[in-house]
Amino acid sequence: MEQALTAALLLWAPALLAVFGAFNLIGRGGGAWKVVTPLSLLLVVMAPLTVPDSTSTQAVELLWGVAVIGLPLLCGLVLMVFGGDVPVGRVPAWGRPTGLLLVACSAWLVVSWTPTFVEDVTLWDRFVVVMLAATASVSAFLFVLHRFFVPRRRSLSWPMLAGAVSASSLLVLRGVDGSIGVLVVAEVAGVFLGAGMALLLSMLVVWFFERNLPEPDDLPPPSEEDLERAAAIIARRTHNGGDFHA
Amino acid sequence: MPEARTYVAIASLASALLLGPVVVLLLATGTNPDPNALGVGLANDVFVGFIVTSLGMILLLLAYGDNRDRPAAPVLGLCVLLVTGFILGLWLLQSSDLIGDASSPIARFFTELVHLAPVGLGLALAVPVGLLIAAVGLRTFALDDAEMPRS
Repeated sequence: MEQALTAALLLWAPALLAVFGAFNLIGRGGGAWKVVTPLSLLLVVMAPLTVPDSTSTQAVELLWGVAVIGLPLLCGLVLMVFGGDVPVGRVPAWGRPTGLLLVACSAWLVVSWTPTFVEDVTLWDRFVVVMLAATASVSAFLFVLHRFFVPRRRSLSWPMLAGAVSASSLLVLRGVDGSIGVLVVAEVAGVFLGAGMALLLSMLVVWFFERNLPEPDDLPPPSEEDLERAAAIIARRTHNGGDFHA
Repeated sequence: MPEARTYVAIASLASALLLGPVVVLLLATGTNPDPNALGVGLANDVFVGFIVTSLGMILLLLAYGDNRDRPAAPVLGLCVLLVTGFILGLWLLQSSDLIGDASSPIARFFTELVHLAPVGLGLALAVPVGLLIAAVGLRTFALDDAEMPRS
Protein backbone atom coordinates (compact mmCIF):
# COMPACT_ATOMS: atom_id res chain seq x y z
CA MET A 1 0.00 0.00 0.00
CA GLU A 2 2.86 2.32 0.91
CA GLN A 3 4.48 1.66 -2.46
CA ALA A 4 1.21 2.43 -4.27
CA LEU A 5 0.87 5.69 -2.30
CA THR A 6 4.44 6.72 -3.16
CA ALA A 7 3.79 5.97 -6.84
CA ALA A 8 0.53 7.97 -6.68
CA LEU A 9 2.26 10.99 -5.09
CA LEU A 10 5.52 10.94 -7.04
CA LEU A 11 4.30 9.72 -10.44
CA TRP A 12 0.56 9.69 -11.15
CA ALA A 13 -0.35 12.99 -9.44
CA PRO A 14 2.55 14.87 -11.13
CA ALA A 15 1.62 13.22 -14.46
CA LEU A 16 -1.97 14.49 -14.13
CA LEU A 17 -0.72 17.94 -13.08
CA ALA A 18 1.68 18.03 -16.04
CA VAL A 19 -1.11 17.23 -18.53
CA PHE A 20 -3.55 19.69 -16.93
CA GLY A 21 -0.81 22.33 -16.69
CA ALA A 22 0.15 21.88 -20.34
CA PHE A 23 -3.47 22.49 -21.37
CA ASN A 24 -3.56 25.56 -19.11
CA LEU A 25 -0.35 26.96 -20.58
CA ILE A 26 -1.64 26.42 -24.13
CA GLY A 27 -4.88 28.22 -23.16
CA ARG A 28 -4.96 31.14 -20.79
CA GLY A 29 -1.70 30.26 -19.02
CA GLY A 30 -1.96 31.11 -15.31
CA GLY A 31 1.29 32.20 -13.63
CA ALA A 32 1.40 29.29 -11.15
CA TRP A 33 1.22 26.69 -13.95
CA LYS A 34 4.49 28.04 -15.43
CA VAL A 35 6.23 26.73 -12.30
CA VAL A 36 4.04 23.70 -11.46
CA THR A 37 4.05 22.16 -14.98
CA PRO A 38 7.86 21.88 -15.46
CA LEU A 39 8.25 20.68 -11.85
CA SER A 40 5.60 17.99 -12.39
CA LEU A 41 7.24 16.97 -15.65
CA LEU A 42 10.61 16.71 -13.87
CA LEU A 43 9.06 14.49 -11.17
CA VAL A 44 7.55 12.22 -13.85
CA VAL A 45 10.85 11.92 -15.74
CA MET A 46 12.73 11.17 -12.48
CA ALA A 47 10.24 8.44 -11.46
CA PRO A 48 12.64 5.50 -12.12
CA LEU A 49 14.94 7.08 -9.51
CA THR A 50 12.27 8.16 -6.99
CA VAL A 51 9.93 5.12 -7.19
CA PRO A 52 12.14 2.38 -8.66
CA ASP A 53 10.09 -0.53 -7.30
CA SER A 54 6.72 0.50 -8.76
CA THR A 55 5.53 -1.21 -11.92
CA SER A 56 4.24 2.19 -13.07
CA THR A 57 7.81 3.40 -13.62
CA GLN A 58 8.13 1.00 -16.54
CA ALA A 59 6.11 3.52 -18.55
CA VAL A 60 8.63 6.28 -17.68
CA GLU A 61 11.59 4.04 -18.57
CA LEU A 62 9.89 3.55 -21.91
CA LEU A 63 9.48 7.33 -22.19
CA TRP A 64 13.27 7.73 -21.82
CA GLY A 65 13.80 5.28 -24.68
CA VAL A 66 11.19 7.10 -26.80
CA ALA A 67 13.07 10.37 -26.20
CA VAL A 68 16.33 8.80 -27.40
CA ILE A 69 14.88 7.89 -30.81
CA GLY A 70 12.08 10.47 -30.99
CA LEU A 71 14.12 13.64 -30.45
CA PRO A 72 16.61 13.10 -33.31
CA LEU A 73 13.79 11.88 -35.55
CA LEU A 74 11.62 14.95 -34.94
CA CYS A 75 14.59 17.38 -35.04
CA GLY A 76 15.78 15.80 -38.29
CA LEU A 77 12.38 16.08 -39.93
CA VAL A 78 11.99 19.70 -38.75
CA LEU A 79 15.41 20.52 -40.26
CA MET A 80 14.38 18.82 -43.52
CA VAL A 81 11.11 20.78 -43.62
CA PHE A 82 12.68 24.15 -42.83
CA GLY A 83 15.67 23.44 -45.06
CA GLY A 84 13.26 23.33 -48.00
CA ASP A 85 10.98 25.81 -49.68
CA VAL A 86 9.21 27.49 -46.74
CA PRO A 87 8.27 31.19 -46.40
CA VAL A 88 9.45 31.63 -42.79
CA GLY A 89 12.21 30.24 -40.59
CA ARG A 90 14.23 28.79 -43.45
CA VAL A 91 17.51 27.19 -42.25
CA PRO A 92 20.77 27.40 -44.28
CA ALA A 93 21.85 24.80 -46.84
CA TRP A 94 23.21 22.43 -44.17
CA GLY A 95 19.65 21.90 -42.84
CA ARG A 96 18.52 19.17 -45.21
CA PRO A 97 21.64 16.94 -45.11
CA THR A 98 21.87 17.27 -41.32
CA GLY A 99 18.18 16.46 -40.99
CA LEU A 100 18.56 13.46 -43.29
CA LEU A 101 21.50 12.23 -41.20
CA LEU A 102 19.48 12.55 -37.95
CA VAL A 103 16.52 10.70 -39.49
CA ALA A 104 18.86 7.96 -40.76
CA CYS A 105 20.39 7.63 -37.25
CA SER A 106 16.91 7.32 -35.72
CA ALA A 107 15.91 4.72 -38.31
CA TRP A 108 19.05 2.71 -37.50
CA LEU A 109 18.26 2.92 -33.76
CA VAL A 110 14.64 1.85 -34.36
CA VAL A 111 15.76 -1.26 -36.23
CA SER A 112 18.73 -2.38 -34.18
CA TRP A 113 18.58 -0.91 -30.66
CA THR A 114 16.77 -2.15 -27.57
CA PRO A 115 17.33 0.06 -24.50
CA THR A 116 18.78 -1.81 -21.53
CA PHE A 117 17.10 0.54 -19.01
CA VAL A 118 13.61 -0.62 -20.07
CA GLU A 119 13.03 -3.55 -17.72
CA ASP A 120 10.18 -5.16 -19.70
CA VAL A 121 11.59 -5.70 -23.21
CA THR A 122 8.17 -6.51 -24.69
CA LEU A 123 7.07 -2.92 -23.89
CA TRP A 124 9.82 -1.60 -26.18
CA ASP A 125 9.05 -4.11 -28.94
CA ARG A 126 5.37 -3.16 -28.83
CA PHE A 127 6.20 0.54 -28.92
CA VAL A 128 8.40 0.11 -32.02
CA VAL A 129 5.75 -1.94 -33.83
CA VAL A 130 2.96 0.55 -33.01
CA MET A 131 5.10 3.56 -33.97
CA LEU A 132 6.21 2.14 -37.34
CA ALA A 133 2.76 0.77 -38.22
CA ALA A 134 1.05 4.03 -37.27
CA THR A 135 3.60 6.08 -39.23
CA ALA A 136 2.97 3.88 -42.29
CA SER A 137 -0.81 4.32 -41.90
CA VAL A 138 -0.67 8.09 -41.32
CA SER A 139 1.72 8.67 -44.24
CA ALA A 140 -0.35 6.49 -46.59
CA PHE A 141 -3.56 8.25 -45.44
CA LEU A 142 -2.04 11.70 -46.09
CA PHE A 143 -0.75 10.55 -49.50
CA VAL A 144 -4.22 9.38 -50.59
CA LEU A 145 -5.81 12.52 -49.13
CA HIS A 146 -3.32 14.66 -51.04
CA ARG A 147 -3.83 12.84 -54.34
CA PHE A 148 -7.64 12.78 -54.23
CA PHE A 149 -8.76 15.86 -52.33
CA VAL A 150 -6.19 18.60 -53.03
CA PRO A 151 -7.19 20.01 -56.44
CA ARG A 152 -4.27 22.41 -56.97
CA ARG A 153 -1.36 20.74 -55.29
CA ARG A 154 1.22 23.21 -54.06
CA SER A 155 3.28 20.46 -52.49
CA LEU A 156 4.83 17.16 -53.52
CA SER A 157 3.14 13.93 -52.55
CA TRP A 158 6.09 11.55 -52.99
CA PRO A 159 7.55 12.21 -49.48
CA MET A 160 4.33 10.82 -47.96
CA LEU A 161 4.56 7.70 -50.15
CA ALA A 162 8.25 7.39 -49.27
CA GLY A 163 7.33 7.71 -45.56
CA ALA A 164 4.77 4.90 -45.80
CA VAL A 165 7.17 2.64 -47.74
CA SER A 166 10.11 3.43 -45.40
CA ALA A 167 8.09 2.74 -42.23
CA SER A 168 6.86 -0.57 -43.68
CA SER A 169 10.43 -1.48 -44.73
CA LEU A 170 11.77 -0.71 -41.23
CA LEU A 171 9.03 -2.95 -39.85
CA VAL A 172 10.19 -5.74 -42.19
CA LEU A 173 13.83 -5.20 -41.14
CA ARG A 174 12.96 -5.17 -37.41
CA GLY A 175 10.62 -8.17 -37.65
CA VAL A 176 7.41 -8.71 -35.69
CA ASP A 177 6.98 -11.44 -33.10
CA GLY A 178 3.75 -13.41 -33.53
CA SER A 179 2.42 -12.76 -30.03
CA ILE A 180 3.30 -9.04 -30.10
CA GLY A 181 1.89 -8.39 -33.59
CA VAL A 182 -1.61 -9.71 -32.92
CA LEU A 183 -1.64 -8.22 -29.40
CA VAL A 184 -0.69 -4.76 -30.64
CA VAL A 185 -3.38 -4.74 -33.33
CA ALA A 186 -5.96 -5.86 -30.72
CA GLU A 187 -4.78 -3.18 -28.28
CA VAL A 188 -5.03 -0.37 -30.82
CA ALA A 189 -8.48 -1.61 -31.91
CA GLY A 190 -9.65 -1.79 -28.27
CA VAL A 191 -8.38 1.69 -27.39
CA PHE A 192 -9.96 3.18 -30.52
CA LEU A 193 -13.26 1.41 -29.77
CA GLY A 194 -13.39 2.70 -26.18
CA ALA A 195 -12.23 6.19 -27.13
CA GLY A 196 -14.72 6.26 -30.02
CA MET A 197 -17.59 5.46 -27.64
CA ALA A 198 -16.60 8.32 -25.32
CA LEU A 199 -16.23 10.71 -28.28
CA LEU A 200 -19.61 9.68 -29.68
CA LEU A 201 -21.35 10.27 -26.33
CA SER A 202 -19.74 13.69 -25.93
CA MET A 203 -20.78 14.60 -29.48
CA LEU A 204 -24.35 13.56 -28.62
CA VAL A 205 -24.31 15.89 -25.58
CA VAL A 206 -23.07 18.82 -27.68
CA TRP A 207 -25.61 18.02 -30.42
CA PHE A 208 -28.41 17.92 -27.80
CA PHE A 209 -27.47 21.39 -26.51
CA GLU A 210 -26.95 22.91 -29.96
CA ARG A 211 -30.32 21.52 -31.18
CA ASN A 212 -32.10 23.18 -28.26
CA LEU A 213 -30.62 26.62 -28.91
CA PRO A 214 -33.42 29.24 -29.23
CA GLU A 215 -34.20 30.63 -32.70
CA PRO A 216 -32.65 34.07 -33.32
CA ASP A 217 -35.03 37.03 -32.92
CA ASP A 218 -36.74 38.31 -36.08
CA LEU A 219 -35.31 41.55 -37.41
CA PRO A 220 -37.69 44.54 -37.43
CA PRO A 221 -39.07 45.50 -40.88
CA PRO A 222 -37.02 48.15 -42.77
CA SER A 223 -37.86 51.76 -41.96
CA GLU A 224 -38.66 54.42 -44.57
CA GLU A 225 -35.14 55.75 -44.21
CA ASP A 226 -33.61 52.25 -44.88
CA LEU A 227 -35.79 51.81 -47.99
CA GLU A 228 -34.82 55.26 -49.33
CA ARG A 229 -31.13 54.54 -48.79
CA ALA A 230 -31.42 51.13 -50.53
CA ALA A 231 -33.30 52.72 -53.45
CA ALA A 232 -30.55 55.37 -53.76
CA ILE A 233 -27.78 52.72 -53.85
CA ILE A 234 -29.64 50.66 -56.47
CA ALA A 235 -30.29 53.79 -58.59
CA ARG A 236 -26.63 54.85 -58.40
CA ARG A 237 -25.35 51.38 -59.37
CA THR A 238 -27.87 51.08 -62.23
CA HIS A 239 -26.90 54.56 -63.49
CA ASN A 240 -23.13 53.74 -63.37
CA GLY A 241 -23.45 50.40 -65.17
CA GLY A 242 -23.22 48.21 -62.08
CA ASP A 243 -19.75 49.35 -60.97
CA PHE A 244 -19.67 48.51 -57.28
CA HIS A 245 -17.21 51.28 -56.34
CA ALA A 246 -18.84 53.98 -58.47
CA MET B 1 -15.83 15.35 -57.51
CA PRO B 2 -18.07 12.72 -59.21
CA GLU B 3 -19.89 10.34 -56.86
CA ALA B 4 -18.08 7.19 -58.04
CA ARG B 5 -14.70 8.89 -57.61
CA THR B 6 -15.72 9.96 -54.08
CA TYR B 7 -16.45 6.33 -53.14
CA VAL B 8 -13.08 5.24 -54.58
CA ALA B 9 -11.35 8.01 -52.62
CA ILE B 10 -13.05 7.06 -49.34
CA ALA B 11 -12.27 3.35 -49.90
CA SER B 12 -8.65 4.28 -50.64
CA LEU B 13 -8.45 6.38 -47.46
CA ALA B 14 -9.79 3.48 -45.37
CA SER B 15 -7.33 1.07 -47.03
CA ALA B 16 -4.47 3.49 -46.38
CA LEU B 17 -5.36 3.64 -42.68
CA LEU B 18 -5.35 -0.16 -42.52
CA LEU B 19 -1.91 -0.43 -44.16
CA GLY B 20 0.00 -0.49 -40.84
CA PRO B 21 -2.10 -3.17 -39.09
CA VAL B 22 -2.15 -5.33 -42.24
CA VAL B 23 1.66 -5.18 -42.57
CA VAL B 24 2.02 -6.08 -38.85
CA LEU B 25 -0.34 -9.04 -39.17
CA LEU B 26 1.40 -10.25 -42.35
CA LEU B 27 4.83 -10.02 -40.72
CA ALA B 28 3.80 -11.60 -37.40
CA THR B 29 5.60 -14.92 -37.17
CA GLY B 30 5.82 -17.39 -34.30
CA THR B 31 3.30 -18.39 -31.67
CA ASN B 32 0.06 -16.44 -31.53
CA PRO B 33 -1.32 -15.40 -28.11
CA ASP B 34 -4.07 -17.33 -26.34
CA PRO B 35 -7.47 -16.18 -27.77
CA ASN B 36 -8.99 -15.98 -24.25
CA ALA B 37 -6.15 -13.78 -22.97
CA LEU B 38 -6.53 -11.69 -26.13
CA GLY B 39 -10.26 -11.22 -25.39
CA VAL B 40 -9.57 -10.12 -21.80
CA GLY B 41 -6.88 -7.72 -23.02
CA LEU B 42 -9.24 -6.29 -25.63
CA ALA B 43 -11.97 -5.74 -23.00
CA ASN B 44 -9.48 -3.99 -20.71
CA ASP B 45 -8.23 -1.82 -23.57
CA VAL B 46 -11.81 -0.79 -24.47
CA PHE B 47 -12.44 0.15 -20.85
CA VAL B 48 -9.18 2.07 -20.40
CA GLY B 49 -9.66 3.87 -23.73
CA PHE B 50 -13.18 4.86 -22.67
CA ILE B 51 -12.11 6.14 -19.22
CA VAL B 52 -9.10 8.13 -20.45
CA THR B 53 -10.99 9.73 -23.35
CA SER B 54 -13.95 10.48 -21.06
CA LEU B 55 -11.66 12.47 -18.75
CA GLY B 56 -10.48 14.54 -21.70
CA MET B 57 -14.02 14.97 -22.99
CA ILE B 58 -15.22 16.26 -19.60
CA LEU B 59 -12.51 18.95 -19.73
CA LEU B 60 -13.58 19.85 -23.28
CA LEU B 61 -17.26 19.97 -22.25
CA LEU B 62 -16.30 22.32 -19.38
CA ALA B 63 -14.71 24.65 -21.95
CA TYR B 64 -17.72 24.23 -24.28
CA GLY B 65 -20.22 25.03 -21.50
CA ASP B 66 -18.21 28.10 -20.55
CA ASN B 67 -17.85 29.43 -24.12
CA ARG B 68 -21.43 28.76 -25.29
CA ASP B 69 -23.09 29.78 -22.01
CA ARG B 70 -24.38 26.22 -21.43
CA PRO B 71 -23.42 25.51 -17.80
CA ALA B 72 -25.37 22.23 -17.70
CA ALA B 73 -23.40 20.69 -20.60
CA PRO B 74 -20.45 19.34 -18.52
CA VAL B 75 -22.83 18.02 -15.83
CA LEU B 76 -24.98 16.20 -18.41
CA GLY B 77 -21.83 14.95 -20.17
CA LEU B 78 -20.39 13.66 -16.89
CA CYS B 79 -23.66 11.86 -16.06
CA VAL B 80 -23.93 10.25 -19.52
CA LEU B 81 -20.27 9.15 -19.50
CA LEU B 82 -20.50 7.84 -15.91
CA VAL B 83 -23.67 5.82 -16.57
CA THR B 84 -22.24 4.38 -19.81
CA GLY B 85 -18.91 3.64 -18.11
CA PHE B 86 -20.72 1.86 -15.27
CA ILE B 87 -22.82 -0.26 -17.67
CA LEU B 88 -19.77 -0.99 -19.82
CA GLY B 89 -17.76 -1.98 -16.74
CA LEU B 90 -20.51 -4.29 -15.46
CA TRP B 91 -20.89 -5.92 -18.87
CA LEU B 92 -17.15 -6.42 -19.28
CA LEU B 93 -16.86 -7.80 -15.71
CA GLN B 94 -19.53 -10.37 -16.52
CA SER B 95 -18.22 -11.31 -19.95
CA SER B 96 -14.49 -11.42 -19.15
CA ASP B 97 -12.00 -11.41 -16.31
CA LEU B 98 -11.38 -7.67 -16.12
CA ILE B 99 -9.45 -7.73 -12.84
CA GLY B 100 -7.26 -10.78 -13.56
CA ASP B 101 -4.71 -11.46 -10.81
CA ALA B 102 -4.57 -7.79 -9.68
CA SER B 103 -5.46 -6.89 -6.09
CA SER B 104 -8.29 -4.51 -7.05
CA PRO B 105 -10.00 -3.00 -10.13
CA ILE B 106 -8.10 0.27 -9.59
CA ALA B 107 -4.76 -1.58 -9.43
CA ARG B 108 -5.76 -3.43 -12.60
CA PHE B 109 -6.70 -0.12 -14.26
CA PHE B 110 -3.27 1.39 -13.53
CA THR B 111 -1.51 -1.81 -14.61
CA GLU B 112 -3.47 -1.69 -17.86
CA LEU B 113 -2.64 2.00 -18.26
CA VAL B 114 1.08 1.18 -18.02
CA HIS B 115 0.50 -1.77 -20.34
CA LEU B 116 -1.00 0.64 -22.89
CA ALA B 117 1.91 3.11 -22.66
CA PRO B 118 3.62 1.65 -25.78
CA VAL B 119 0.42 2.14 -27.78
CA GLY B 120 -0.10 5.71 -26.54
CA LEU B 121 3.54 6.74 -26.98
CA GLY B 122 3.77 5.03 -30.37
CA LEU B 123 0.69 6.84 -31.68
CA ALA B 124 1.80 10.13 -30.07
CA LEU B 125 5.14 9.96 -31.92
CA ALA B 126 3.75 8.63 -35.22
CA VAL B 127 1.26 11.48 -35.77
CA PRO B 128 3.80 14.38 -35.71
CA VAL B 129 6.28 12.24 -37.68
CA GLY B 130 3.63 11.60 -40.38
CA LEU B 131 2.68 15.28 -40.53
CA LEU B 132 6.33 16.38 -40.74
CA ILE B 133 6.99 13.85 -43.52
CA ALA B 134 4.04 15.39 -45.41
CA ALA B 135 5.47 18.88 -44.80
CA VAL B 136 8.84 17.91 -46.36
CA GLY B 137 7.17 18.25 -49.77
CA LEU B 138 5.99 21.82 -49.24
CA ARG B 139 6.70 24.06 -52.25
CA THR B 140 5.32 27.45 -51.31
CA PHE B 141 7.30 29.62 -53.74
CA ALA B 142 8.49 27.30 -56.45
CA LEU B 143 5.09 26.59 -58.01
CA ASP B 144 3.70 29.29 -60.22
CA ASP B 145 -0.09 29.77 -60.26
CA ALA B 146 -0.24 28.84 -63.94
CA GLU B 147 1.96 25.76 -63.55
CA MET B 148 0.35 22.33 -63.74
CA PRO B 149 0.46 20.44 -60.43
CA ARG B 150 3.19 17.80 -60.26
CA SER B 151 3.90 15.02 -57.81
